[in-house]
Amino acid sequence: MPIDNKPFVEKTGAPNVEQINREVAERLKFFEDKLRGRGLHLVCGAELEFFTLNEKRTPWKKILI
Amino acid sequence: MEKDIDIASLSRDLLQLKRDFPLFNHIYPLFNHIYKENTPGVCEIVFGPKISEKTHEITRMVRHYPYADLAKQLYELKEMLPDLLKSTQEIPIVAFSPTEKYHKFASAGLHTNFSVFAEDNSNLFYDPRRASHGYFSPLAQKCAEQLLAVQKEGLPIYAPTPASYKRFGKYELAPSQFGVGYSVDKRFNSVACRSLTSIPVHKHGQHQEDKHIEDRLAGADANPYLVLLAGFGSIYKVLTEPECPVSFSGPTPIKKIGDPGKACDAALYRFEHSPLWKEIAGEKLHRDLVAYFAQNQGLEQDRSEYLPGFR
Repeated sequence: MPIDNKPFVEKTGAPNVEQINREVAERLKFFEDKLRGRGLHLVCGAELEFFTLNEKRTPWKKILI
Repeated sequence: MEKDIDIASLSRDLLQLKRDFPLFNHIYPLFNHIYKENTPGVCEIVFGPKISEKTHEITRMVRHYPYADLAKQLYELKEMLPDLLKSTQEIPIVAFSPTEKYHKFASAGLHTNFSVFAEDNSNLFYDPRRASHGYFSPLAQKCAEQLLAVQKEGLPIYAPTPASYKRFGKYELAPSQFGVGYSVDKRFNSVACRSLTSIPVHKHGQHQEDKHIEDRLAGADANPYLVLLAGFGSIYKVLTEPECPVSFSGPTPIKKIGDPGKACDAALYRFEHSPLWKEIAGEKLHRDLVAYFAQNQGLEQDRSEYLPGFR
């Protein structure tokens, strides 16, 4: 099942995360423009959750963003 | 909103951050809490059109918010948090598997919420005639099922490292199956159709603007840009190809699909050969993503750096 991607990576060179993010941002913009052209608006929100450890005071804190 | 953020300066001057970057207003109370109060307990901060009694206002506020900017902010926030927390003697841990003792807190990671509004301000995910479906429209149902298909074929996005898979199904608030849930209690599903988070759907069926789809699969280690792409791509596909059927095979345990260790390889194989993802991301981006994941697939978080003695 696993695929050997190494030749592909070596041949093309894997993009770094900044390049990926930029490309995805362009794609998101593309979706947005197309839908606005149809009079539709996507609404989006996000929660990012981390856990922190502070041994002195409180063992765990959950941070929701 | 196009501003360069100097991440290092954020921890030194939160007021500057507040002034320069209005959306961080929501986050400011959290930092204030950590710095000045440092009291035990859970901090909960609203970011985006979530999900309180004020959802209506917040939803309107962010309606025209550029999505890529939202991703950018989340990304920068992820980058920034460890530095910030270090200065408060806190040790940040990405959301999978802390310890057995505190396992019940391990859960969410990165959730994204979506809804679609028409020009007359009506929420297309709301249908007043469908009380039996929690007032969710057929469109919402189809978008949720499409997102499910996208999740199944796009696991490298949601779980980028082998350790990411340890989170699935192990803790009560983390998803354990690919499925769509229509209730706040069904947290084991990877997609949720929701109104207000903490209030049962049937009590708020009349609040149409609250209706949204929640993508619950991603861990906190996932890239927010890519998680947003999965959600938007699904909804975009359904809206632009309404006749196109969704291949939905019912709830599937995530563990069955991805076991730690083998999971990354298998997930990458599915992603690479997914016509659905080729369509959503476009040929070039899809190719780049495959190369990107292939490069990183063996990557394991160095958890000992975050927490000595961590298993």
